[in-house]
Amino acid sequence: MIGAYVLITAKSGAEKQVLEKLRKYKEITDARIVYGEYDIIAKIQVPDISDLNDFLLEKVRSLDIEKTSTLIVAA
Amino acid sequence: MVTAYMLIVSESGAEKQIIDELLDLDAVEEADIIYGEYDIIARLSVTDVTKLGDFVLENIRPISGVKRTSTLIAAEHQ
Repeated sequence: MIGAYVLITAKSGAEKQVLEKLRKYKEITDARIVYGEYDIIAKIQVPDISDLNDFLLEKVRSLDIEKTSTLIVAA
Repeated sequence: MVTAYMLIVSESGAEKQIIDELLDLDAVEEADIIYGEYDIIARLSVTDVTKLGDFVLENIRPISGVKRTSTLIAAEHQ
């Protein structure tokens, strides 16, 4: 399994809606709205790195999001 | 309870020792070494936000090898 944290800057006002959509995905093990330099932090677990790529591109980045930064957990 | 995520930039080579010290702290629920713009991420839980400040200043920032931290406090009632 590959773990990753995604730091998300949401479109202003879209934070709750983005959070609710993220929490519906089984790959997301933890997601919260935060104060600071990002708006949402989400932890993802997927079987391998290609699944991470698909998940981020197809499911996360299609939401009302401006910017993401993905931090992959070292094995 | 207040949850916060700490993004930590460490001195090169100090990552594992910092993780070990973090995981010894009761307030640290989870800590991972990561690739990217930060080296370590830790999830903390403290009773209130004033404790968070003390905890970070007294317990995390003095850990040898910690260069820079960014704290993201989770909004309540989620």
